[in-house]
Amino acid sequence: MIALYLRSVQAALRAKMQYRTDFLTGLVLYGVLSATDFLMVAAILARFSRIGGWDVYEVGLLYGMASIAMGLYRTFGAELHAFERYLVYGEFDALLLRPWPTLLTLLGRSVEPERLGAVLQGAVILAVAGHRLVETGALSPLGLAYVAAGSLLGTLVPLSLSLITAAAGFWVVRIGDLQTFTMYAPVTASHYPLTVYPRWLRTLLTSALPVGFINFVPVQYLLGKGGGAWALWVSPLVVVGFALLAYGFWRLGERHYQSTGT
Amino acid sequence: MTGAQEPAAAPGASREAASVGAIVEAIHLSKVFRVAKDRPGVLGALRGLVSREGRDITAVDDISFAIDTGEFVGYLGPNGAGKSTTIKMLAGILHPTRGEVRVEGKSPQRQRREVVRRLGVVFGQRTQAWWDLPVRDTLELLAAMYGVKPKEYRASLKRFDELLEIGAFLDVPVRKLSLGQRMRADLAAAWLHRPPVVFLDEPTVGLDAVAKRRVREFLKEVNRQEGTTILLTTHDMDDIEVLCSRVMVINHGRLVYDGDLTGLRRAVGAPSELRVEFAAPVGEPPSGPWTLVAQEGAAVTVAFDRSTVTAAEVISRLSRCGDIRDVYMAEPDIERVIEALYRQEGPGSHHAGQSRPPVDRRRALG
Repeated sequence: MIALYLRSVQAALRAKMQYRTDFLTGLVLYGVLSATDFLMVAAILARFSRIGGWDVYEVGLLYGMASIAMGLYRTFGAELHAFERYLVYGEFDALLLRPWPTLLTLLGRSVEPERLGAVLQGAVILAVAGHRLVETGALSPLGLAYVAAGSLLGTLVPLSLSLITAAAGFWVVRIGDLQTFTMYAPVTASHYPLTVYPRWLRTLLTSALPVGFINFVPVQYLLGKGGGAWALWVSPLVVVGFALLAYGFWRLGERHYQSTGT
Repeated sequence: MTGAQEPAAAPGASREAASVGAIVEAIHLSKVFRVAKDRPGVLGALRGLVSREGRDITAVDDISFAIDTGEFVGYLGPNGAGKSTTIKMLAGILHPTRGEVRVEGKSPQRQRREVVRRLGVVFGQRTQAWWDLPVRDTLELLAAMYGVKPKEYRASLKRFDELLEIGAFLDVPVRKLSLGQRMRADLAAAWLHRPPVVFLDEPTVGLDAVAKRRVREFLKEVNRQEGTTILLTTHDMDDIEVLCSRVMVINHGRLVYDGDLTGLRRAVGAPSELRVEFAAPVGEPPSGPWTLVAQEGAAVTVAFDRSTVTAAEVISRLSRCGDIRDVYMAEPDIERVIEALYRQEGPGSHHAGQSRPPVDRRRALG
């Protein structure tokens, strides 16, 4: 199954490379775009030195993790991200005709490697911030390794949020606007320490929209800012559990698919 | 196809007996779509999600049929009659509101992946190929998807080149293909894993005469050579005349005819025309169980209804008017037959006499 997915991705990449210039400009663009975002945060931090009790390197850790997770999702979840099209034009039909799980067929249909620009930028911020924090003794090298692995696993969170939104589309069809609330907003929020948000929002971001488990919950403990050691194993469990839940909802929605008239 | 695969015992003998050899079955199939009231804005969308207000549209209404292995069936009906909805249920894309589908004895809804592995589906309106990649890449990817072995794959490719001449554009990106080439590529893609059953939804739509002929030749060939069971929807009556041994007509979601073409003509009672040339001009216009269409000198054309009078009887009656030198028969145009049938079958007026459920048909065939 993995082999087939890789084959599909390979084909998708070949299709992509028909437009090589687009790819190169995209790569640079998304990297610069994402870096500019962080420069603004850094500028604010240079002025106030702390956000919600976190300094620039600590925020950099959160920011890098969220950027990597989101960038990887946008790279490999490109087709899911544009799922509305499948519902509006009945293109989902074609996925149901293949002898594979629809999600696998869907994800294999396209990738957006230029989004790796954002991943790269996230990795750079993570490396700089991590290096500094290990140097000052605020973070152990093992903790840094956890952070790196957590960034990758974190990809499942935007992916799951997007999957749930897409599955809701089996009932409501138009999901473009919904996506803003269920995916963009929470993931953007997770770039900063959750302590800056009001309590209700913090609760939301660690429950129904569990973006807090990508980075904030474990990093808070790793930096000795609160929480307990449980955060280190609960976070990946929540992330994986949420993904399974999302997939269950997808399967349910799939059965409700109504196609379109011809 | 019988023998080894046969189950040891056949419970429910009468129903089983009716579907021996049936590879595709629709059993009291219905599909009701709920069309939600359109409400503007985000709030409207949310309300639409909660409330079940709206109206029901019955796209397919209690349809039953059984298709035997190797049959080539034409599925006809006006736009919006329920053709595509039926095909989508047969292929497992849609879940029926009531009733059931069986493909090789399995439900395409409950055992989707098992069923579609042995199914080919072509939608004339849209391609399933990778838009930006050469045809070859799509075929290779599909071969991997369906587990087609490299040796079989090469053999298939060679055969498709003979039948569809796809070799010429195998390395051209799909987006650069003509409509006809794309359909040929789609057919190759659908047959790559040698499916025993193929559903085709308007495979000749928009094609020019040459491309249509090539598609038909291919379909005829695979049906004959490989015994592929084919169900085809079309608006092109030539497709039906050339290809289909059996026709099903759907109108307003109901099956209004299931049988062969001759039977369809008879069922509708569309007039057959007979042109007779007499040795000498006949004075009186001949009268009989027909309507006079034209009379020019010695040539007389009459139209008659085959369901009430036979051609032989018409000729014999006409011969009383004088010596007949020559006779020409003209069967009703299938297009007109279908039109007549569509007109007859208004909503809610279901004439049982013209719709023959599959079980009856089978009995009639012995």
